Amino acid sequence: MKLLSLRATPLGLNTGIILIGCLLLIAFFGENLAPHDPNKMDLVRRLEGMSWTYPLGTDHLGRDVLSRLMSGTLLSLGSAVMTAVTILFIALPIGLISAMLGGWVNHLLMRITDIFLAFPMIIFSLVIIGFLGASLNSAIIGVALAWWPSLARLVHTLTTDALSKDFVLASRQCGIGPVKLVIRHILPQILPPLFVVMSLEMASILLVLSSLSFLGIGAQPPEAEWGAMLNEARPFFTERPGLLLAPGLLISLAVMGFNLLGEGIRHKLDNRSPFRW
Amino acid sequence: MATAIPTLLGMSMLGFFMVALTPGDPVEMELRRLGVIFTPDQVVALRQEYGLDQPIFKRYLDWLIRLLHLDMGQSIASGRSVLEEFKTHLPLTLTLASLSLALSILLSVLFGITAALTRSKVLESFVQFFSIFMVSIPSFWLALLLLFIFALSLEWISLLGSGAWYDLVLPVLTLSLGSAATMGRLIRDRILAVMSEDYIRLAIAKGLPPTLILRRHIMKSILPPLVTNWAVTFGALLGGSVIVENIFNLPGLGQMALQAVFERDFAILQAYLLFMGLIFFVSNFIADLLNYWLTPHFREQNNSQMATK
Amino acid sequence: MVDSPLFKLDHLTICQQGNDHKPIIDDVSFSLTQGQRLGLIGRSGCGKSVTSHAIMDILRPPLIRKQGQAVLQGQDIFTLPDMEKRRIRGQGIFCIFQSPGSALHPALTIQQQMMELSTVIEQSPTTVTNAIEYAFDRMQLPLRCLTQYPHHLSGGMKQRVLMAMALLLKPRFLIADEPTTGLDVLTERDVIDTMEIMLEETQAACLFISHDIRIVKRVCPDLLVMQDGKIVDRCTRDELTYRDRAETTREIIDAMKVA
Repeated sequence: MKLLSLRATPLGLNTGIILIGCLLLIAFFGENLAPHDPNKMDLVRRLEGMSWTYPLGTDHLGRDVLSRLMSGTLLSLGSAVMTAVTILFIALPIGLISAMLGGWVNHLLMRITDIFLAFPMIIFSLVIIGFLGASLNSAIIGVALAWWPSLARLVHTLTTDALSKDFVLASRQCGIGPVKLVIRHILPQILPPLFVVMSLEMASILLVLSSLSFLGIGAQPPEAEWGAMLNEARPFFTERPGLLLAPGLLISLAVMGFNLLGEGIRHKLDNRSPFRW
Repeated sequence: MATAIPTLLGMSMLGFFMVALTPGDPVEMELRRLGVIFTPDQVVALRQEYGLDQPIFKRYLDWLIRLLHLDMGQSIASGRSVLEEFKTHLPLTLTLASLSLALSILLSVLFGITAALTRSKVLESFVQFFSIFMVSIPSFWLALLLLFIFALSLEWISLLGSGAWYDLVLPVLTLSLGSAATMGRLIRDRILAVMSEDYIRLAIAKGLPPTLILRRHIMKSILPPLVTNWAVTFGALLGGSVIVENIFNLPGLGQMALQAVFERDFAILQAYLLFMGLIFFVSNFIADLLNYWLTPHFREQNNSQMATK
Repeated sequence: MVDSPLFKLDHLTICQQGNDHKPIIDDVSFSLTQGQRLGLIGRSGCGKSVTSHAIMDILRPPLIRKQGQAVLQGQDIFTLPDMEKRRIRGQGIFCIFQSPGSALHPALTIQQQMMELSTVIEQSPTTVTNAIEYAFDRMQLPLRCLTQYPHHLSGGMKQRVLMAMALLLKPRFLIADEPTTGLDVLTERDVIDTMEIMLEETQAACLFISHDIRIVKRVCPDLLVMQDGKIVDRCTRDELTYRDRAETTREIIDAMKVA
């Protein structure tokens, strides 16, 4: 097969599933599996290198880096999931309403999404955080407010497609109510593709959230969020670069996992290989 | 462009109401910040002086008129006018973003074409892996990796920067590698899509050399959407500059905005947001102009008539 | 005198990737001598166009060639290296595709698309310009078309632009894949007339693919009938009498009411 590629083959999808699976395991059991108390400080043993006791060394307060990474998984992934849920919570009704009602409502809502979409995602989140004050909650709200328009547009497109199907037209003509119509016919059609997109979006959400934490305007120390750990370790970059490289690697792996998963599913759904010379 | 005016107005409203609706009375906050002891009467008087007792719509109009005169208020932190702050920080960020855009266009075109045309499985797997890797690693981590390699291990450059032009090399590299991977993938997909078009089949059937088909037939088709994509990328690069400026300690717009977040300097944040919206408009406008020039066949399409024998 | 064939297709079999049991094209063979015109008819979707793409070696995945040889003047096209293959395309074999609407590049003027043939026929631009003017004259195309984009032209004109290209290339073997699809009856006649002119000028052998037996009968003395990827009947146009033909042939004749 000519198109043997990492993402196209199940290898990519499998790698994604394994990565995400491992991270979920760590997220749920990390606290118990961690070799040390992630918040226990030991100022005598600060900035230590790798050892049997501290596999990834210790940070500037003598806390075990590995334990912190493991126990921070839940918070890091959890905040991304929370963001995704918030985005869906805004985007789904707006997309549905504008597609179902059409007319000037649709026009107005879509123009509003246009306005939001004009701003780079991270800048919009940053400004929102500026008004709300820096915290993980502000970061989640900021990212969600910056993100919902693109999802709302997607929901709008999917719903419009779903509405044009013959069986939906038929049940509409039979006088089915709008709520029933949405639950029975629209949602079953739009949710599957929406979830594929969300798994890809999870990757980007994770990236933005950790970037904000890294800048110090997302999760705040001493929380063991990956981005916040990076931010805390920045003054010690020359002494112990590993302190920054390890959480960064973990973020990269998580993002890659979601990317591979989303790409893999999408490829499974749309298995056309392009023409080549 | 007919939709530009309402959208620009909408943006300005967004910017205005974001500040107006932020909880807390701005006058009291300002007085507290200055450490002045004040009475409720003084607050009322000051509110009147600043026009804050006016209805909100009137305030918006006044604000809009001032905005059109480039009067965007003062930074509370520095006491300088917002315009002054922008004048200081803008050039660096614009240079950074423009250089990064140029480099990512160059890299992504090379990358995309190689990825689309290669028949070597090894190369293809490498390209695929590289693109998903580059899309997945956060730009701050990439920057740290680059610093680790070039500043700590190889010691080619100083961590603190030297004030010379080559301070921009690593920031530009950081910004462009990520977007080049995304754009390169887009170019690859576009090329592969165009390659199944009938007119490419005809070009092959004519016996044209592949380089000519690529340069002329394929590029001519994929360039217009790419130009639009570049406009969007420019905005994204300005966004990414927040992180890169922070890591490499470059005093650009991003650093200014980040500082404003910590100092809750609303005037700066408001202006920053509006400026980004404006950049979006300008870059899209330029992309539209370029596309108008690139697609002569669309120009007369509206008034074209089927030629008859 | 024994005519050695100009082009010979042997045992061409094409499958969908991963599905070897039901070939799209099943063991198709035929040959053409210099200047011979061979008609290939059959229902839509029976594999006619796939055959033409396979001969040009521009199949799109998921279609893949299982076996077969396409020999033009002693050279098997399928086994040639890319450079040689490219040399065969254009002046050796040229294909006029179905749907001229999408076969011309929408963003290049007709002139640009004609002039690029100079790299293929290795002539100076002036010679090519003259050749284009001559070809346009023969194909009854006004010269002002040259500066226009494809969407300015009607379907029949686009088809004749493709024929003008063939006139420039002078291929030894021309495949015309449903050149009259989507054209009205009058335009169809014009296109066929110009094609006859073009074939006479270039002295090319021609595989004429169509689902319309009336046109095939007009153009080609010899016919192949295809059904489900197989050649089910071979005859000359004079043998197109009802009784002794294969079932598909009878159906087609019936449908067209020409017999």
